Amino acid sequence: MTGNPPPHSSNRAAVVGTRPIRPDGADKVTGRAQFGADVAWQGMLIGKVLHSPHAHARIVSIDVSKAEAIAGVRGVITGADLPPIASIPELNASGVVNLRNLASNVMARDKVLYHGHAVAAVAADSAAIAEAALDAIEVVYEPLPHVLDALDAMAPDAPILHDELRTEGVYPVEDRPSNVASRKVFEAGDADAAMAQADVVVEGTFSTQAVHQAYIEPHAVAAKITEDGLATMWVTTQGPFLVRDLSAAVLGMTPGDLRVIPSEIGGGFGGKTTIYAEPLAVLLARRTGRPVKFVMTREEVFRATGPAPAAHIEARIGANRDGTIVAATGRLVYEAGAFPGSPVGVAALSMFICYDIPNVFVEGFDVVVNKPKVTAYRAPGAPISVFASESLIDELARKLNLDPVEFRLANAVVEGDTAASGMTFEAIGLVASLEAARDSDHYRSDIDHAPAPGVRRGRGVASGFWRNGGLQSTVTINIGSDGKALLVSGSPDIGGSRASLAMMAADELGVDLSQVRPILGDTQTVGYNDSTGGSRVTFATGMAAVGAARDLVQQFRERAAKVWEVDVADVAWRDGRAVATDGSDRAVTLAELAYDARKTGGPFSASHSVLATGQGPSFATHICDVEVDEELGAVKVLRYLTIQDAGRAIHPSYVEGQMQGAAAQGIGWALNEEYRWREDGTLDNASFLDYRIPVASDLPMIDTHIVEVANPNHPYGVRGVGESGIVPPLAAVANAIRDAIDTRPYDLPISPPRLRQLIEQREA
Amino acid sequence: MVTVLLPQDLRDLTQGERTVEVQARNLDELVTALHEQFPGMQVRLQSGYGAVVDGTLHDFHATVTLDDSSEVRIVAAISGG
Repeated sequence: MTGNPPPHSSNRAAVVGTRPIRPDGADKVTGRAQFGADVAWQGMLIGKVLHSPHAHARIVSIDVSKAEAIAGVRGVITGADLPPIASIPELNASGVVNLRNLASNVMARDKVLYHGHAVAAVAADSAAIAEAALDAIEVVYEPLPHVLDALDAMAPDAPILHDELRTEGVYPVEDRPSNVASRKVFEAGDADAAMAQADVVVEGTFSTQAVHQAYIEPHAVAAKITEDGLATMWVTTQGPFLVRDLSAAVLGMTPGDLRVIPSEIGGGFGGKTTIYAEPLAVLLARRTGRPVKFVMTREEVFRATGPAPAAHIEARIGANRDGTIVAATGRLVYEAGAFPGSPVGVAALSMFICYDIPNVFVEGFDVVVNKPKVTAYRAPGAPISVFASESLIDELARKLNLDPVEFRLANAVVEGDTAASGMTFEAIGLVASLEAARDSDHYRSDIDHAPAPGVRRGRGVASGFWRNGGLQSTVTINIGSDGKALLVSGSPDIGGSRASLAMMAADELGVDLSQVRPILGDTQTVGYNDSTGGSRVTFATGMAAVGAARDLVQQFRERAAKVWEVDVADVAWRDGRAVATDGSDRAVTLAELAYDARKTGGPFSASHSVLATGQGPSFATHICDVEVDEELGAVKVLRYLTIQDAGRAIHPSYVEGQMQGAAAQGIGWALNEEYRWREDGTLDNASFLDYRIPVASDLPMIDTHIVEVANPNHPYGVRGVGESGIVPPLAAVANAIRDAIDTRPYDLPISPPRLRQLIEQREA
Repeated sequence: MVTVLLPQDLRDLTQGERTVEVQARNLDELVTALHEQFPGMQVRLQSGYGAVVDGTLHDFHATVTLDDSSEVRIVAAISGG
């Protein structure tokens, strides 16, 4: 069966909305869960990658002969062993991924484009031998000038990364090499004219740095070639089908010749939605005839995988004296890293979308620089652009002497409003989240702005949006002879989706949650699933689970009707039982139907696939209290409240966990996190010792408030909840600091050196 | 004919045209029709754009049907990250 199931019509919601123990919990807390690095196959070799020491250099030659001669080295590969770039199709089947750039990122060919770019790979009997082999590979480089900042890369005399790259989106066409890969524009009305007429205009120039998704589990992959020629990969990934399809394309294989088994995943947050060593593992397994496993070190994760982009933003907002916003403009310059593809388009879309503004102009530039290719990170791009827009909204409220929440409420988008993108909103929860903020104990509490000499406190508010995703999902449910339902999905569980899928299925089947066992299939045991990303799984894969469960209910009714020799219309399904509605008082439970299946018509099984549409956007509003030690430049988050529209919280604890995690990551982004490159283009802080993420002692309890404005397009009203929660914190923290020290931070992270600089400027 | 409103950033392919008309019964056909009229459009549209039809933002799927009164607004909507 296929198609989006209609809204939930049963009165039963005994499981949805409750907080059962997670099905994967025991394995994870006892260490039994198998993550990416945990697989061990007979005869397995250790794979290692040689990374570029330069930010930009031409590869003159690579000599692997000395490495190959080392005892215990079983295989060495370079870019020459991979299919030529020209032979690879430009786009993948869904059209979203440029395969040639992807293949060039997996392993450099003629040039290295960042410090960490893969140059060669080895497979050896041990890690020590593999390391020795890397040392023995002789690469002759011709260093080239590099460029690390997007604004520098846009300059006419900047070093060019790709001679063939032309700027898309500029008319008249500019036929010259450029580091500006593309320009994207959102416009509505006449922003310049409206801005000129506005009573009050605020503006600012903002910057943010590249940040790490900070998944605790590094990337890992093991590959083996079975006797029938099938390549099998064990991977920690958000998208086993994506890994299969991309790896096959890069290797010139057909996807059916690759099986990808997803391990448990120790965090992804968007960072595990592409490939790095996966094709190399397959190639080396094929070459050596033995399984090969790559496990990245944290240094490799920092140097050779994709962070969220650094950016420069100029923004203006104009309003009338009555508090009506009339115009907004933005100029976004996002670093893509070494290959095009920053999330500047969706960042531009998200920037002012919380407000009903008739005149908007946002222009975004996607710029390549000599850094790792950026990858998705929760609500890709939006936290950065919204840091700028929500900072200015705060500033505008100050200038108009309006309460920042009431000012937002007066301008907030509601059902029926049309955004600058042309999207018209259905039921949405921005107003509900703002009202919850206004009425919260947190917002109504007093704050002492000067509790001690040299100590200042402040409060900030910010809102945010994320569109959420739909895409393709498949779920299969098999009923065992004991009546238990085995629910197989192909969506890696990074946020509690196994529990959520099982809970919706349990309510559809009318059984206790203990009767539904959710497991994760692989690319050969379950139908196609797009990746776990875009906050889409509980929404879209949930639709597939509901559809499969409803198909089973129909099968149960038909089987009971067959046994009772009545029309199926005379059989209802209530609380896990088929019930005759002809007045005969007959009933049979799911377990009884399953037990008798061999006698009555065979086993019960159903698969349901969806190309899910109608994902409802999610809005969030955050309130942050900070304390600033003005002498040290240190910021302590005293109190934090995150409010978010979940549509319907299937498992409220998981929703709260998503909200708390997103807030914690956003606070880190605001206060401390940044990749720091040296002038020579090498990364200076490739470890968690030098890259500062928040730890438990840095944060207060993150308070949560779930708002539920049902998404009319989902059978249970679900909206994605994984991403909108990271959109507001950057601005919420910055606005709180602005409130505390009476000076606005425009540059992230607001680390002690930067904060001290701000305070010194204020005092000067 | 379906009316297609193009953002500034696709006008390099349409030589500055802001609005074009094409024959298409769904969004998949619309991409093909635009590409025939403006070579290069297919790759561009499929690598970072969506289509707003009747206020809803869609990917370029054949499941989204169009008729002669349809107005399609192309927007840069898909994250490349």
